[in-house]
Amino acid sequence: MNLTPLLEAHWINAILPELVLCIGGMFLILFDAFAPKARSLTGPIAVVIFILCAWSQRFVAVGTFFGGTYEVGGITRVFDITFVLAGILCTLLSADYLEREGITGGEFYALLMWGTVGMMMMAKGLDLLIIILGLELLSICIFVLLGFQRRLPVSNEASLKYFLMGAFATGFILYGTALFYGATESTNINVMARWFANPDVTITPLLTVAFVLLMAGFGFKLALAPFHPWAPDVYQGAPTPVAGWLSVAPKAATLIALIRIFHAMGPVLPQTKWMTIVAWLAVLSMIIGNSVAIAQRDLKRMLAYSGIAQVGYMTIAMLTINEDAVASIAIYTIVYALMNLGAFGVISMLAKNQNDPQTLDDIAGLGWRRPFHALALAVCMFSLSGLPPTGGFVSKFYIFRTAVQSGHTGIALIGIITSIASVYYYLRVVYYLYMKESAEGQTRIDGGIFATGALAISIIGIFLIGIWPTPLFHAASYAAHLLLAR
Amino acid sequence: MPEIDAWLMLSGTIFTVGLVGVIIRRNMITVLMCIELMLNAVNINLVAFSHRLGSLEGQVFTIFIITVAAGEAAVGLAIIIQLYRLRSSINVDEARELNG
Amino acid sequence: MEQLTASMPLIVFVMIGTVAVASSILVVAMRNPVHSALFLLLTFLCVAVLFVMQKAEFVGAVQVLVYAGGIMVLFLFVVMLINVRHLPDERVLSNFWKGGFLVGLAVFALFVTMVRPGVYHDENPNKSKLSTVRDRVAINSTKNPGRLGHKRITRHNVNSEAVANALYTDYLVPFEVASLFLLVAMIGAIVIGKRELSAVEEETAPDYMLARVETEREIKEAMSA
Repeated sequence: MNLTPLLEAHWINAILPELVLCIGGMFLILFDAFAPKARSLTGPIAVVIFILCAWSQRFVAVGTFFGGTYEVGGITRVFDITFVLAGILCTLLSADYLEREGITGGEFYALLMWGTVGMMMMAKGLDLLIIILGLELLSICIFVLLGFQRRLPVSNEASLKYFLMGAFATGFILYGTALFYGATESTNINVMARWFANPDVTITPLLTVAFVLLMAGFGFKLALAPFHPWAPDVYQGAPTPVAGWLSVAPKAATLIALIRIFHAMGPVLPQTKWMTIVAWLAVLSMIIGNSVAIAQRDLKRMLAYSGIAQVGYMTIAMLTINEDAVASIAIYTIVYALMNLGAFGVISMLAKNQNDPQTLDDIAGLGWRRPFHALALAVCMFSLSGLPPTGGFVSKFYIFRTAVQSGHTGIALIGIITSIASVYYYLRVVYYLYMKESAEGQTRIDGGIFATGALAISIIGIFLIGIWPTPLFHAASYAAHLLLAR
Repeated sequence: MPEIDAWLMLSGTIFTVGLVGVIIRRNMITVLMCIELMLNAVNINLVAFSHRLGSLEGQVFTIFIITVAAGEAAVGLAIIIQLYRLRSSINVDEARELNG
Repeated sequence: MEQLTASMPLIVFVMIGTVAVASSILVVAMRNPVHSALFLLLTFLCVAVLFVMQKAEFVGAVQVLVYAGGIMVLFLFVVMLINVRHLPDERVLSNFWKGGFLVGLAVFALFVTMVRPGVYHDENPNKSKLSTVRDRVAINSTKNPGRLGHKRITRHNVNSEAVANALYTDYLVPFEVASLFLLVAMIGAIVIGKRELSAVEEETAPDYMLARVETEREIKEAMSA
């Protein structure tokens, strides 16, 4: 009897980034416990660990590992960089935020790291089991991070709402997975792909129900339109840097997992109506997200609705999985991480009672008091609305071009129209920054060196991708080519 | 031995009961129990398919789902205890600080 | 008598299944969380019986040990800890209970469509041996020789041995992820659920704990200054 675990050569290189983050998180917790006087160092150490993780990507071995359950390739590397980038930005923003809120915690950064491990597992898993375990690892980190300000009722409430929604969605995803397993005889995505590629496959109602349940579950996690109501409440109550991270990184991880699943289903998609369901989700998200965002005065709620719309744009590209689509989603997630975390970063510096909403009035006239922070927020808003010299324009352009090339002109048109409408509420923020008089008793902006550094990273990144996108696009296209070539 | 349809129907019924319970009950602890019901329905399905297909993946999957359910219950109950400390109540709709 | 033995699994299935569904409905219907918890326990035990019926003995044992033994105790413990006074006139249903029933009806209808008779029937009789899929094993098929493909590894052992075999070989990565998951769950539950020491407890708490609380207070003061 062969009891050897399936360990290929270089297996340790395959999971090196995850190992760095796992051990780094454990080290931070122990550091926090045994050196309570040096707690102000935990933030910088966390950043160093994230950078180590990004550096360890150089040694990663490419290929399929652990008996075909785990695939490392170019696209996972691109997404790993996105996750690490989001982690670094969130850590830098939290370092100042937590200090101001009087929260100490190496656990905070450790949970951020372990959540990142979960996302990396979702991106690399070739077995639905690994994807779901990664998703659960990520979710449980998010529950705790959302409720980290334990004395604030809103923080607890955000955690509770996300927990209820998350557990509910997990039930749907698991049920859908169980039905897929029953129909395709395996949970391995490659084996499923082979099953779907069989020309005499019949699409039973069982498979359709499985797909509907799976999309409902992932729709909850992505905050797609009919499943979105949790998002504004959770973002409003969450610690602000966590809200920024939550709006970016988990969505990227869920999208790459969905890309793998859709790619496996590729051969049967033309004879089913499954993609029509996804198209409707995208259209509803774009319309509801953009139209409700106009009515919001609370900045975090506005960004939540804008996030719903942004996921809608990304979902358009998923309707047909080809190289351009995967590449444009990869680029969009990177740019989205930079701009959304930048916007949430400025909001996180508003020094006021975190139990109260952060509204547009709080940033009125900020442009003349704190020029750099106002500039950062303005750049992020320009990029989110997709105006030309920024990365937001480039990524949106790739998305819509891909959609039109794959023949989804109508949906792309809806996307373009709604995104033009969205310019109104994004630029309203800029209007408040520069055109409004600041009122009496103005909210202070309280940004330390770390948070300012994070803003600088996002501004530079947004302009770099906006002006010179070719290298990134080539890298992403090549990675997507490798992913889909199987 | 009953056919696979019967198992699917049984698990579907328990899943639906859990689903309805999550939405309609106010008591947080009961809501958490209903989530456990939903996960159990998934397990019934997986084991039934595993038996029918003669493949072991379903059973292994079930073990991991039980693990996930345990971890989720632990964190969920901690959140409920914190909710109780803040509001002296564990009803879902007591938590309504956030408009929406 | 022979007929009875032959139809025994069906009788057991119907009986246990009915009890499982009925007690799951009672979990939702009971006013008192303790009663709900006890009916949940009954559901878990019934499901464990169903697992054993499907020749999944190990999973059945885990179900009893972890679910009925571990998770249920956790639930009851929290119910006791919170000690909610049972108010007879308190509302049980949330505001959107009508919507809840509608969603339930819709999902149930979805499930019924998939088991329509004749659409999905058991054409594949049970194989007596269990197998798992392994990737990238060279298969010598006549069509395309030498290609890497998937191969089913057959497990001839008794159930728990087969499961253990699969768990520690094919499913090594999920196993490690699950261990990290449990660590995170433990730390997370502590982070959210812990509380500050009250005045009464400060007298009975051990010294090292008081020292730690003191340090935390100093740091907090230094930060707020």
